[in-house]
Amino acid sequence: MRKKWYCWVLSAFALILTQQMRADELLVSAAASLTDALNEIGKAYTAVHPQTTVRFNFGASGALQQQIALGAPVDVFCSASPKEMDALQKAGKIEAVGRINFTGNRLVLIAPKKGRLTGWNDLKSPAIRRIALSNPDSVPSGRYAQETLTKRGLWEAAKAKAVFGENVRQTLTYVANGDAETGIVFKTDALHETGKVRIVSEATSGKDHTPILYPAAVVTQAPNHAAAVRFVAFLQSSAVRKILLRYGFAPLTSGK
Amino acid sequence: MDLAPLWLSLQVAGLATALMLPFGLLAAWWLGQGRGFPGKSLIETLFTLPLVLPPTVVGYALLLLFGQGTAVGRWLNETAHVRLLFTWQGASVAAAVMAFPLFVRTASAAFAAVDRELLEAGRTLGASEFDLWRQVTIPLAYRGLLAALALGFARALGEFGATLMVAGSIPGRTQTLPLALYASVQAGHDPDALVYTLLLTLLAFGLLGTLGAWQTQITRSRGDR
Repeated sequence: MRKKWYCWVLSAFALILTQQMRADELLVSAAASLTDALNEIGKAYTAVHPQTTVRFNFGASGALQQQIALGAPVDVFCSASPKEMDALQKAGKIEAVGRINFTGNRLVLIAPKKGRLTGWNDLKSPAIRRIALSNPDSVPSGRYAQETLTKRGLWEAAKAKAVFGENVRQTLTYVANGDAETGIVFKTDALHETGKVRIVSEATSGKDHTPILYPAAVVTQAPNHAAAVRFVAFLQSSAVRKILLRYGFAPLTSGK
Repeated sequence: MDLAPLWLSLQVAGLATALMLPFGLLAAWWLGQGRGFPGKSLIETLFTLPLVLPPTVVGYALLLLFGQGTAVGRWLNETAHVRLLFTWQGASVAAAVMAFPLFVRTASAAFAAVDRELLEAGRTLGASEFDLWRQVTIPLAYRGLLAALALGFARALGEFGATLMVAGSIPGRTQTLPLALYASVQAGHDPDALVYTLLLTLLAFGLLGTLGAWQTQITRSRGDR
């Protein structure tokens, strides 16, 4: 009686845990800022390759990097900055051959819809009491914002008034709710809240800050290698470029 | 509006509770016996750790353990064919680990409240330990055990940090309600985020409310007798 009970429970667990999936499935780990655009790109891909089911795992690029480094069964990695991709490439976890930059982004200075901010130099003005920035240590948009402000000689003044968000969405919310008079976010994020914030100025990519690039690559241990290669190639198609453009991503200038 | 995260959450929390139950019952019973032994407080502390550690610490540890980098991970993946990274089963294991301390704490209190003398009496009458467990301990402790079960299930349902690390956030496969909520906020889908928030609150409220009402009812019916 006692033995039988154990056997049932153990075999039930074994059955559930070893259950397999994955016919022709492609798993793409991607930066959260790409959510909407990639969902649409996934649909476009399935329209061309109906046999493949595309699934996404959205998260912070750093966390996605850790998962891949530790052997998560991911096929393609799309990062929000080259830093994470470089680390994986160095460790041999992604294939250097075929690695691409598939899109870019712009950094913008934003203000609440009714705010009076007119430009970068207003950041010094006493009327601006709080500036929403993302944490430069952990969030890519914060890093680019720090570069830009330093370049324009505004960093020390801005730092004293800064409220730091732990992700770009939080930073955006500070401004959208009027808790900060201004903030710096990616253009694609600002376009999400056009009802509440307006774009005051766009930083000059390449001059104010290093270009914002989104790299993509095939994961070395990709369970579905063939589809992974096809998907990364697909990211460079004109159909994908059109989708990305519609969501506010910046086309890549040649050579960058 | 996609309700898949709701069903997945119930599935993940269900398996997590089932996984946790045998180990949790044994651990709780063992700790609740009241006998002191060397190292007992050390083990109690160890069992309580997931309750106070940030879930991401547990998640990272599990990620390390289940990945290809360790012998355990390689054995699980290659020999046992148990794939826990990025699967809903993996999410269950993470949730089970996180729910374990809450279950053990509550359940061991229930076991500790069982009258020792009844067990002694049973022993003098020649009952085996297993029979005592089944016919004396469990029936006397079952109210507390049920509370422990409900709390464990609720904790597993709300688990976020460890799950995110181990299972990722894959819609339709590993994206449970808390993960779907986070993803909605990240992507700026505020209406979805609101629905998920309401769903999670209602689930937790319903679960704890039912438990509370049921316990009051039992207490009252016993009092009337």
